[in-house]
Amino acid sequence: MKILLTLAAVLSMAVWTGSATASGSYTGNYKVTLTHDVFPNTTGYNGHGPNSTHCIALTDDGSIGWPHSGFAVMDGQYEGQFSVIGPTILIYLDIEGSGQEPADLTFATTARDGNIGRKGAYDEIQGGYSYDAADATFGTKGSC
Amino acid sequence: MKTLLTLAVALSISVWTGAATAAASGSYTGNWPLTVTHAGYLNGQYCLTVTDDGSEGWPHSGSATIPEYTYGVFQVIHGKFMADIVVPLEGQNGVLLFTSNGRDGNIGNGAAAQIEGGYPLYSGVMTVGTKGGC
Repeated sequence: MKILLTLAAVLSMAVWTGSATASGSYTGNYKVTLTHDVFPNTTGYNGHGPNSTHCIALTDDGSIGWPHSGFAVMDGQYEGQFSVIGPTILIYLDIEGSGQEPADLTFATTARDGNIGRKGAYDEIQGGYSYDAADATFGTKGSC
Repeated sequence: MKTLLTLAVALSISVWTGAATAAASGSYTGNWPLTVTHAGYLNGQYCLTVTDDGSEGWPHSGSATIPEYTYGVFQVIHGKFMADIVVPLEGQNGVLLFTSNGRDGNIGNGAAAQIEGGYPLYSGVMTVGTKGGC
């Protein structure tokens, strides 16, 4: 009986560990809706763009140095990378800035156990400056 | 009439107190000690100073600086605190990004990254100390 109980405990731990590992992956497609867009115009940060919806695909293979990190692509055209650092996921997408310089679309939100937090932030950075920002609402994995 | 006056005074006090409390509890203005780890070159202590005056288009937004770099902004977007500090470089500037949850004037632990040429060259864990601690 003692051996059986030990075996059951070991099996239970193995199943739990396996589940945790599987559920920890961020690989998948996520719909992202941008609202309340704000950008600077001639009177300050008073410009407001339209709402928009996008699809971000993540491949979680640890290739960017963090256990959960890898390739990211938005709408099949803007490529970049993502990393889960502590409780935060950072997604960077490379774009060409208004002056043809390299620029970034940056998304940040919470992340845990393979799940991305619904309420996040979007920040377009050009030349070191925040050029455009918006509320980013993430859909669940497989939402686009 | 006396009752109406009393009511008006009470309402006035109530509104004022509410506004003052909301503003005080919600403001991010101050300095924040940040410790960045697991980030190689970025590892270290930073003192982030922010002025929350709504000047960047979000109710909680404004200037953000560290002693080393004195141009930057912060914004609280959808409950996420994002501070972009301009890092002057030859050619195109880089940016030092500090991000975490932000709520009721408080910043949680989060992540830091330095982005240059469109890529996050360094990134790490950001631990936030007590407001006013640096």
